[in-house]
Amino acid sequence: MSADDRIAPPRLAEAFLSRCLPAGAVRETVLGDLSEMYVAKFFKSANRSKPERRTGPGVKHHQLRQGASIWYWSQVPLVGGRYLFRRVFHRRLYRIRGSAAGEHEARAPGGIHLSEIWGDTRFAVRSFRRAPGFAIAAVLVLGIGIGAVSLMFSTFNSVVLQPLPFEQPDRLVWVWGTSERMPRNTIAYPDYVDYRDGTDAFESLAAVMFRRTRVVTGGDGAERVITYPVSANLFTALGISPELGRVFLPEEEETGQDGVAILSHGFWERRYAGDPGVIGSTITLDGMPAEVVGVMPARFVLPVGYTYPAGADVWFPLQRNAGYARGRANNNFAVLGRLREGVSLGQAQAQMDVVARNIADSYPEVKAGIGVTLVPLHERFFGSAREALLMLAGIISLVPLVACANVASLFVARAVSRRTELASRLALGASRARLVRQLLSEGIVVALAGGVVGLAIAFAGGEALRVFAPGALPRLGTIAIDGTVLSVTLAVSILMVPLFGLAPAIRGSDMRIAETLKVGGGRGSSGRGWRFRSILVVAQVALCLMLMLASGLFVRSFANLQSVDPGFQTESVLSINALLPDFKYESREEIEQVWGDVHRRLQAVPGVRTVGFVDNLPLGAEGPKYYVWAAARPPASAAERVPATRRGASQGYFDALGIQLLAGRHFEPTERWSGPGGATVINEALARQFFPGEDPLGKTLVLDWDRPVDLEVIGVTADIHEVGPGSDPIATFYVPVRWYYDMLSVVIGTEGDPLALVGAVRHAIKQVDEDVTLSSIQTMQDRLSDTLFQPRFRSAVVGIFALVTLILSSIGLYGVLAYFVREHSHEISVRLVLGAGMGGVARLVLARGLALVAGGIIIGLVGALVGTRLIESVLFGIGATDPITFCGVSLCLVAVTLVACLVPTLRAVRLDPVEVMKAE
Amino acid sequence: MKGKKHLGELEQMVLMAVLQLKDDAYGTSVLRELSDRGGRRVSPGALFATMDRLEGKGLVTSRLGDPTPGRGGKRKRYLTVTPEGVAALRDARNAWVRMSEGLEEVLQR
Repeated sequence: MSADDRIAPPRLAEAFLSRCLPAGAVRETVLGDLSEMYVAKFFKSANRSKPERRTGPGVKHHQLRQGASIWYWSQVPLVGGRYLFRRVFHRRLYRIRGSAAGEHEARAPGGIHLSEIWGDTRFAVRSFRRAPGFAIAAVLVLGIGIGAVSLMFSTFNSVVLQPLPFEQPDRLVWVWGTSERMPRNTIAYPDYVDYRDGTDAFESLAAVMFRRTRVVTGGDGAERVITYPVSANLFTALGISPELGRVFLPEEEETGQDGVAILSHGFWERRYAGDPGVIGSTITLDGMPAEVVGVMPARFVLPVGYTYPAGADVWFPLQRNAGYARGRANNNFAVLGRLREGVSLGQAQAQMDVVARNIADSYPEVKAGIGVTLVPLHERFFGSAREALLMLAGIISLVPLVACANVASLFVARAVSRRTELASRLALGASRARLVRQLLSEGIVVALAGGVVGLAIAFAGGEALRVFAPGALPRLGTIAIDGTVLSVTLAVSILMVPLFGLAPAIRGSDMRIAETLKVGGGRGSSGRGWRFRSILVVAQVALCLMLMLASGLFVRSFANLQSVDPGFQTESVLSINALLPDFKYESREEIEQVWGDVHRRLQAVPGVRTVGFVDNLPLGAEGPKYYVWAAARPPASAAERVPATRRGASQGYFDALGIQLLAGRHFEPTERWSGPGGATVINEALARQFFPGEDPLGKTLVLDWDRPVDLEVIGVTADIHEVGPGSDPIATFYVPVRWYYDMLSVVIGTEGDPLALVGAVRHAIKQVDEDVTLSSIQTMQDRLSDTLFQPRFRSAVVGIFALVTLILSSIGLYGVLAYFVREHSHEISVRLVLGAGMGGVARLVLARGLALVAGGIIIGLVGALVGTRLIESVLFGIGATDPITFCGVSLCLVAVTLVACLVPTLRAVRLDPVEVMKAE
Repeated sequence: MKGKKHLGELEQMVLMAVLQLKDDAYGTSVLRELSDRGGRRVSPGALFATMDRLEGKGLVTSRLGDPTPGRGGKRKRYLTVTPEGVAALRDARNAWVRMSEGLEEVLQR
């Protein structure tokens, strides 16, 4: 077997192509040629790629493959489309006949009638030029439908489908630590070592510590950088070699040999202007010197953290003996690894399970019930985005259907108004098939033009997402219209032709010639056109209602979230994260003094009401959890312990946020974290959970620190929604803020607009120390609104599309009613003459319109009753079949469609019988 | 002239490529020949269409080769230029030569 045999074109693309090609020798020879060209492309890009990208066997294999695959996919429409076109339009496909000698001979009688197809196309374009209004409407409506699909696909393609930028990314896995309380946790270093050494399923298993912010000094001044301590094998596990220098050596995990650092490409360019001489130089972080040993390439991203990719400037080797790596209870590490070739996820999971059980058995007091879950790395980062996008895509897929129904209706109307033309052509000897073909080529012209509009919409939509919703999805910045998106858009455009064009074409060409010509193109047998268009309107209304219901549910759920009282002041509170340059200070007392100065200076700023400090702002992460229990009721076993969230806060924190004190007192300003015997303030949720039916004041809460620590409950506060309005308050105990922390959040209660004070506040803090780093300066209101980002995003996207379909269906309804009035002007005139009265005529038209709307609403409601269950999981405070939303949205739809009915109704009652009769 | 088989430029190039390749003229090799010798980048779709058209005009014939492992076990469609094809090519060349007579100064610069 040569290497060429293993390099084969993407199977899906080949399957598509295969379907497009006529069966037999043509299919075989063309596929063969293309696969040969694919292999050639593959090796050509292999030779072109830079030498350093080709080190090692199989390196960048998938990237080379990607280039060739994109080429191959592009051939699907280019080659496949050509043959498909011929197959559809020409029955007489050339055949390859087998001769007696077993040798095959290809023959193509007549070749392709390109001229004929060209003629059809030109004819279609010409006829659109005569009816530009129709053409523009059809192209725009189809464009909206295609654009919706194209936008969803391009987003999905960039956000979910693209592989991670590592070598053989499908072998990379993420390791979640699990426990009874925490289904997804990080892992303690000693556990990581056990997993690493106790299994052989991984080529390498790497660990990354939480991100740390440090300050670089020297050279171009102080700068705050994001650093990660990582295991020495991380870069090898991910299969990325440095752009310059080397990766860490295993011995550099030992304390004393750790003075080395690897820089990110971005940081290297920013601070060192891309100077290759940086290798071997010294970088000073937090006052500690380290030797720069490597620079990672620009495409390297660190796959850890809440967001993807996690920004990072500098990496350090983690220290085996450091405090953060000691102890089984310090779950400080993200663990990820590369599976050995041929090892499945299940096999690796089984091996890890054995190790986890051993750990749980050996350390029952801290590790009872723990386990691990392996997930593919790609799944870890894009799994939830995939869910979210699939849901949106499911809803938005209704848009192209509405567009199709709408355009089909336009085509029917057009076919009807062209009755005379079509009948003449039939009479002159055109076959019906020829006529269908002509009408279909008009459809194709419209669909292709619609595809172009759709691409424009997708492009604009992608840009809008990037500008207005940058944080909505990971990798949103990479959304692009690439070859795959182009092919999909083209395919969707072509697929829509039979959806909207086939039925009108067949109907349009079916007529009794003599009858049509006899009545001179006037009122003919139009009952069928009306009925068909009515079905289309009912379909549009039904689909539109479903979209509107989804939108309505999202909006109401969003409103529910917004109306939740978070339990604290948000309007006039400013929050800031402040990081002290702690390397400048010798002792804890000095840091404490700096915070004291910050407090004093801020308090003196005019307009500042209160200043408080907290180690973890609400409306962010949940915060660290610890096991606690009431001293009177210690847990019977380790497994029965219950965790609660800890927050370090000063008295000003409660005042600034207006968190109500229900009983007892707050911390005194002089109160310090003192460990045993210290004071704690608990929230109601914790009081309910741990001190049910008793007064917790004065009771002792035991905190499972390194050892059990007694805390005296001195106060009880009201619950607040710490995580966000969508989550219930969590059991929380407050302890006095630890003033020796170098990073605290400052909350400032203000008298007026908090944002007006930003300058003064910043100035006041900088007066204490120039090198304090300030970040995330926001009002609490903005933080609150950030937590509602996803629901707002969903409401907006679905709402926009619902509005568009509402407009489309209203226009559709208007069109069919106007048509009804035109076709029945004779009958209506007779009624008017016979004294039916305006009311009677209006009722006649309105009843038609409302019957269609009612039919659509009934079908739509049934569809929605089933469909909205799919979005139930993301709704807050509202059921998926909320009757108020269902009624309200239906009424709203009736109101809008009623407006659409009004114009044709008015036209009907204003008909002048004399004119109508004369025209006949 | 209309009655005769007029050759498009790509058709001429493909016919000559097939002649150059002798017994080894099939889709991929013709494409490679066009790009290596002729400096022409032709899309596979256009080439397949041209091959079909030439065959339809009776200027080339094709036969199927044996299955080849290098291309997923699929057979090649080998092309041979028919006498009519050679004649058409010759006509095209003569026309070119006649049209370019006296233009040596312009063309050879």
